[in-house]
Amino acid sequence: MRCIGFALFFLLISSQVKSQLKISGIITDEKNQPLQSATVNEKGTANSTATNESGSFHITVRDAKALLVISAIGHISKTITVGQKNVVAVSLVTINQDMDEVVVVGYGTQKKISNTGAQTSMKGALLVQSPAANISNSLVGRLPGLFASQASGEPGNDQSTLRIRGVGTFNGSQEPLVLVDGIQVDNYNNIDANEIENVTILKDASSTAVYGIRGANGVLIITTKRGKVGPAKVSYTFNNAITSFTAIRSQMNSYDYANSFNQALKGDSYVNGSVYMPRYSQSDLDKYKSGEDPVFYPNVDWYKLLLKKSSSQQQHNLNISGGTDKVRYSVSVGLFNQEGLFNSTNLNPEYDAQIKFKRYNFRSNLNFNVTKRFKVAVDMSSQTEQRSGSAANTGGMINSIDASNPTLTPGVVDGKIVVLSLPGNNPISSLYEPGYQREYRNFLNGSLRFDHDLDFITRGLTTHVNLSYQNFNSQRFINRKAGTPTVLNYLAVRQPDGTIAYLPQGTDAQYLFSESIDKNRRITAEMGINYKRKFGNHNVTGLLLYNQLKSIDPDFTFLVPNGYQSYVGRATYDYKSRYLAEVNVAYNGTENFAPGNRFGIFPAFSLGWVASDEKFFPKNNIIGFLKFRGSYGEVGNDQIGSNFLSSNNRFLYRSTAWTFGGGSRFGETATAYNLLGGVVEGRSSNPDLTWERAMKTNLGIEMGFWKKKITLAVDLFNEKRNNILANRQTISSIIGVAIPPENLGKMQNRGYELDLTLNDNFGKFNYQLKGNYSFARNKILYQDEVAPIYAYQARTGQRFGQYFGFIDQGLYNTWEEINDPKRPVYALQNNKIQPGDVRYIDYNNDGKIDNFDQVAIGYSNVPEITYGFSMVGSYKGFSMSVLFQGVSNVSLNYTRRFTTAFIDNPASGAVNYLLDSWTEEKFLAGQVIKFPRFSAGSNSGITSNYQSSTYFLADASYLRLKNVEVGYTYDNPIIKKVGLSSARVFVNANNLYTFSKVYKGIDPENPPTSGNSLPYPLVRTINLGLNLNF
Amino acid sequence: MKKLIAISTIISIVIFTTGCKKFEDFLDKAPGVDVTEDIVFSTRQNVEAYVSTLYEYGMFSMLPGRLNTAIASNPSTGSSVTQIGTLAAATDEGKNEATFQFVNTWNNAGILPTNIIPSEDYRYYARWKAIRIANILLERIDAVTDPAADEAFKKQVKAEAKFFRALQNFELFKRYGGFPVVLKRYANSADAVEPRSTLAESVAAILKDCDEAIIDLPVSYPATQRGKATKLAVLALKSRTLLYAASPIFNTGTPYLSMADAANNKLICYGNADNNRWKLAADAAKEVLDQAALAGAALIDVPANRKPTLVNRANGNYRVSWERQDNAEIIIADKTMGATSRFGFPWQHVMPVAMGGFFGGTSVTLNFVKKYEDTLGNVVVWNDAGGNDLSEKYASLDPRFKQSIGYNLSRWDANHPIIQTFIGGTHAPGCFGGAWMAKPYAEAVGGGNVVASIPLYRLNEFYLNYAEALNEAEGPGVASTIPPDMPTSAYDAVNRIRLRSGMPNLPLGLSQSQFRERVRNERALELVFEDHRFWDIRRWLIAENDGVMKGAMYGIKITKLTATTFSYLPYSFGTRTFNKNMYLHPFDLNEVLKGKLVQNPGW
Repeated sequence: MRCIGFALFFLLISSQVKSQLKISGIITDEKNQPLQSATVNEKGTANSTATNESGSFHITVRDAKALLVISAIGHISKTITVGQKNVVAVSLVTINQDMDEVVVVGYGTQKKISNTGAQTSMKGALLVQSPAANISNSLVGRLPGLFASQASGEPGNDQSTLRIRGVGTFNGSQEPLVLVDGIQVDNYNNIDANEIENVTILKDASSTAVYGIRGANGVLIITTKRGKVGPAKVSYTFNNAITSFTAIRSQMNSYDYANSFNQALKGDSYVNGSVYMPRYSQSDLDKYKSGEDPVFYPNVDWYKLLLKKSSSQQQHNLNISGGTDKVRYSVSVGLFNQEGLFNSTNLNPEYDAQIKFKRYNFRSNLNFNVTKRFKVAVDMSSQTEQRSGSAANTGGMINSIDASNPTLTPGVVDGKIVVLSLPGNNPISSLYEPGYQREYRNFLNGSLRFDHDLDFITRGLTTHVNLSYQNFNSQRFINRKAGTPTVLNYLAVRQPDGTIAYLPQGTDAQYLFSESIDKNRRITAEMGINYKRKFGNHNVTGLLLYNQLKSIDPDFTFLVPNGYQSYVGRATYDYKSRYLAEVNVAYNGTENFAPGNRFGIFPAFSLGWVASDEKFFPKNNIIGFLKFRGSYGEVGNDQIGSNFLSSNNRFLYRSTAWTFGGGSRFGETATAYNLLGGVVEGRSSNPDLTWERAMKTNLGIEMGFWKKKITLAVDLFNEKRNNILANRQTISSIIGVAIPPENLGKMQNRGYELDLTLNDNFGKFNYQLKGNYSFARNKILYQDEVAPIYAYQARTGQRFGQYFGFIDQGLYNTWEEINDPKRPVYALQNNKIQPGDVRYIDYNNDGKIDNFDQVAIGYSNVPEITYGFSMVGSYKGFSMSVLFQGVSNVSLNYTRRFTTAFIDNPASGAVNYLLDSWTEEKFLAGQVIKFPRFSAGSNSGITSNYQSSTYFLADASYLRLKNVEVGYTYDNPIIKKVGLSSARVFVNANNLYTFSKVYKGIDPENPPTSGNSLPYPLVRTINLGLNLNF
Repeated sequence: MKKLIAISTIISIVIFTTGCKKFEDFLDKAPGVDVTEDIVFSTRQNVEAYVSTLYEYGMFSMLPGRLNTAIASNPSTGSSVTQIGTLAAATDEGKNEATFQFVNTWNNAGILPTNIIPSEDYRYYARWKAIRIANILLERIDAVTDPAADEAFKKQVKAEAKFFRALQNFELFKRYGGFPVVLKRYANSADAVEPRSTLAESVAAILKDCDEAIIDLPVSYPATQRGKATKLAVLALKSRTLLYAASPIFNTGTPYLSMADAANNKLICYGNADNNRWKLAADAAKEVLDQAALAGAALIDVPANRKPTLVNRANGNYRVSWERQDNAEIIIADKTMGATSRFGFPWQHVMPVAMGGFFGGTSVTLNFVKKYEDTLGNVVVWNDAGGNDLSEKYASLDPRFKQSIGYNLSRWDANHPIIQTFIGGTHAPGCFGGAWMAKPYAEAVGGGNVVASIPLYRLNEFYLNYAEALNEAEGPGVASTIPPDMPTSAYDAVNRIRLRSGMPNLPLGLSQSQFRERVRNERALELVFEDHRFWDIRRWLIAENDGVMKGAMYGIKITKLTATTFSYLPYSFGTRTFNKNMYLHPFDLNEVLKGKLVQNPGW
């Protein structure tokens, strides 16, 4: 680092200028409308000014020979001689937007027309339309090739998982690389959407090759807003929203529960060969039905008791931006406030168990033109978050609500948590038991960028240095009572006189306090040389760049910081922006492999041809634009698994590393009983390890129809990954040690993307229709799998995460079917099959239903198809937009809570829809039957009905009305009188409605995936907002 | 000016890219954080640490700690094994109340080559790790140059390694029969290929390690090192190995089922029946009894405490022998886990849900309770039609019943001082049998954190090993009126065990086969819930008998009549299935498909 500072010292040099002649003028556009914020610069000096609202300016220049350069965004610049005129009037011509539109690429920007890579972007303004806390959740459905899925709706913890072009590896990390303003970050979710100018994803090798060893999973680039020359613009936005769950289950009431439980025991008694003994007697059932004894025969709806119908959310954002020719600034401050949806959170006056999340955002992007050639950008941003509420894990809480049955306790009586002398954990206690937590998290980022023109060496040459520092701190406090729950339970006891006494369980205790701290930091440094020049019809650009990164985090394995180094090169050439060629190369290294295997070259080549530019291309009104592009290249992935820096997968090449730890205890327990620390052999080494190689091919066509009213982009891609780090599965366990991963896996991923846009108007009604569709399918080609007895059970050759299970043929309904000698024998459940059980196909025809009849069923849990469709319209001050989004070719394997009632010990609750389970009466009456017979058994190894099968594998496709916005903008003179330039009111909403086939109460986007933890459901947000511009 | 800027820029680029630290150094790991094998084998202290790890991986108990990383994960899939019940519930000893416990898989013959590891052999992978540790110690110990690691130390480490290797191999043998004998560390994964040895070779490998370990292990240790392997522990392992080897399942010409290729039958039996194997087993058991006194081991027998009441049950000889840590009867115990509360493991494997458990308790079947005689040595009649004298019946039973079972109105711990298993009682839910398995839940666990000291070998077992083997080799022999501490006949050995629990001598004049039944019954009671029954009924080939691991299993329904009188009504809570292939475990299907293991018959 010291050497970088030394270098910068030389770069910090500025110059001074003086002036004499006073000039004033007015700048207009083609339609003679005054141009605000146009820049007037005395050529060759740093002397400049900007026009005001009426398009006029004043400037003092050196003498009459001075030249004035007049420029404005979106217009062709003009240079005029001052001469003897004191007043000038200049009209600027709008430039052809298409020719000048730029796109974000790795380490810079490029003209869209000459870009040959596969990338897509969206404007920050679209993010603001979604009243979501987390920007990753606002990307859904907007970008072809991007799959985003949100796993939890918990305030402050609701980010989406992103995948670019599906999944390309079965063992490496699948996470894309994320950069904010060119700096690699780990956390981008908490950036205020109002701060964002643009979000771009880079998909093919040509666009990601510059990220070399980390580019294989695609790259997401976020660009924040910067100031523009002009008077200060102040914008204030206030949002106030109501949130509610998108989907929530309901439970059976006590009577249905008890009645169904008895039926379950009846069915199970046949399986166990036991005598059926009802758990609930007729008098119990009667009491549950009548509700006459609500304490001892309770009927608690735990969802109602613990989950609220709605909660609130507010957001404020104030943005000030503007600038002169010397300094441009954009400063944004934001406050975001969100409450969770737990109910009954005030039983303890000392703390509020509700989850509350507050976030303070700050960003200041400053640009200085120090001299004509030397520019400095100083960016600072911070996100400060506060979370408070119950220290309970929300996944565990939701599971606990699902798991509790309505007869367990009367819940809350007179503000007391009441329990009965029945075993079981009641979820309201679990809300208070873990205590109260407050968590503070702070992300602080600073970056400094120097740009210097080197056109005195040769024209078009520039250089830059970029330094950035990211810092994260968090602190978590928990107050919890020792030994007793924070809120006491009261045991209901019937007194001899018939009244009910509530006896406190245990005694109150002191609060204990605990604190945990987390921190990390990262330093990034980059230095580059850019070249861009036009020689007649030949356009040439070049880039040479060095980049290094060091992350320091006490959680990293071995406590060693993590580093990356890369050299990057790029050259582009085009002839008349018609024939395009580009080469990208990265040479980079990672610490994860042995010296010698560390550094690799990742090249990519791409070509483009704008066919519509050719003379022979028929001039017509239909196809006005046609461009072909193609790329081939290689990128890498050095990470095995996710979060590998904190895992045992770090420094994989190192020879068997041993760690001190563990051990056994010796001595007599009453007197001298001590741990003798041990030492454990690590995984044996593989010094030859290297990175995953992804060979990516991309073909793209871009078309414009009817003067670009309609634009269409189609991309086809094919990716093959070799060298996937994976463990051999065929090594016998007798080796007794973890074996090292080898570069043995092979996987293929291919698909296509469509992006269609229509822009048009009916008079003053302007509208845009936009649709995108992505398809990506992968296949594991090799993974050293133990060859199964039946080839159809091999995982190799299938998609990653392919579900396997039995194929069902509905249910058995009669004993005749069961006793049919041709019925296959079930190895499961000792062949004790009865009416109401699932009928499986004997796939291998051996007369037995056993594990060998499990075959590939459905898809995986990552959708192969994702699509989005949006409509935007505006008429005068009104605007409206609608976004639909959907996924397809995806499966959901229901976890046990959704298919089975009365599991666990004590018996868990039962979802209401299970009342459609098979019973003989229902079958005979011809009623709707959706589930097999009730069963209280859940011995996962053998219970026949709940095996992985097509019966409980759902098509998790969905189509969702993701986002709607309606707004009205006032910019009439009345508004201006009160000092506003414009004001806008709007209503927008997220996750409004979902079409899906999954069971009621499950959101197909965040289905539960593990048995003992259920996701905090996603929320629907309906928001009223106000935007004021000064 | 321009030049200055140009020059400075170029200089900075040059410095930046080349002048900084050497390129590769930026990415290198900081020195000094690696511990290598050479470092481990450089000092005595580090070798001792590695030996401690050998104990961590190699020692085990019937009630595993759930989160013990040493056992919890499958190296190839990384999946963890979490639902481990006590094996008592797979036998006539009990019934687990939690349906999700894998142990229930035995009861409906749901065991498969694909689920055997989670169902029973969750230590399969840890076992190979322990064997590897033993092999590495044997390979490297001689080359340790630290002067503190003297010859005596090295000899002892080698002996401990051999003991643990033998211990792991015994666990393979009792589950699978012949197993791959791994006597070296595999240098790389391609070498890790070893077929199963024959049963005879497998047993010989265990005995060889035992015989070599015996020579160099100390007779005893100071109190601070209690828990380490002693001579007596190896003798105990040897006795159990020879007893199992002499048993009907292995000591035969024709196995319980023929292997798919009959030529492979020697993998699961000796191939001939030889009565001399019983003689060897008897001698080995006798050797343990003979050497016990030297090592300070003795039966817990305070005459006044042979028949404790409920109030002073903590002093009962039998209760002390399994409850009190480090008591004289324990030869070696697993106490690697440290102290845990009743909400932690291993206690959660015992505590019924009604007492705050989450993983389910085990209730005791009537089938098993019927094995307890009354204090006079008479068979107790449990009327099929029930009766109103439950409390009286319980009071009349063998004192060991009161000291191991949580029956109606008895005590669990201070939190549950009166157990209520009658219909409507607090502890009735899930109690299919009518009483709870209380052993090995120590009373003290109710009050705080307690070290689980689950014995691997306790001296009482070897009286019964001796009696069983000697009866098979020579018959019951002659009974002394007062059985001596050093028995010389099968009669005396059993009677000595009965005496310390206040039970009368077995009747005289039993035939060899009558005595066999009595000694098996005695073994069931004395070693109840200690992970013996499951293996004993398999090696005796009686698991298929009605009411053992097969057929209707019974419990009692208890009805409260008055505060102290209760009626009982036997009922069947379920029917169990046992198929002959369950006499030995199947090897995990995945391991078989890797290509070198021959699968056991019927799987």
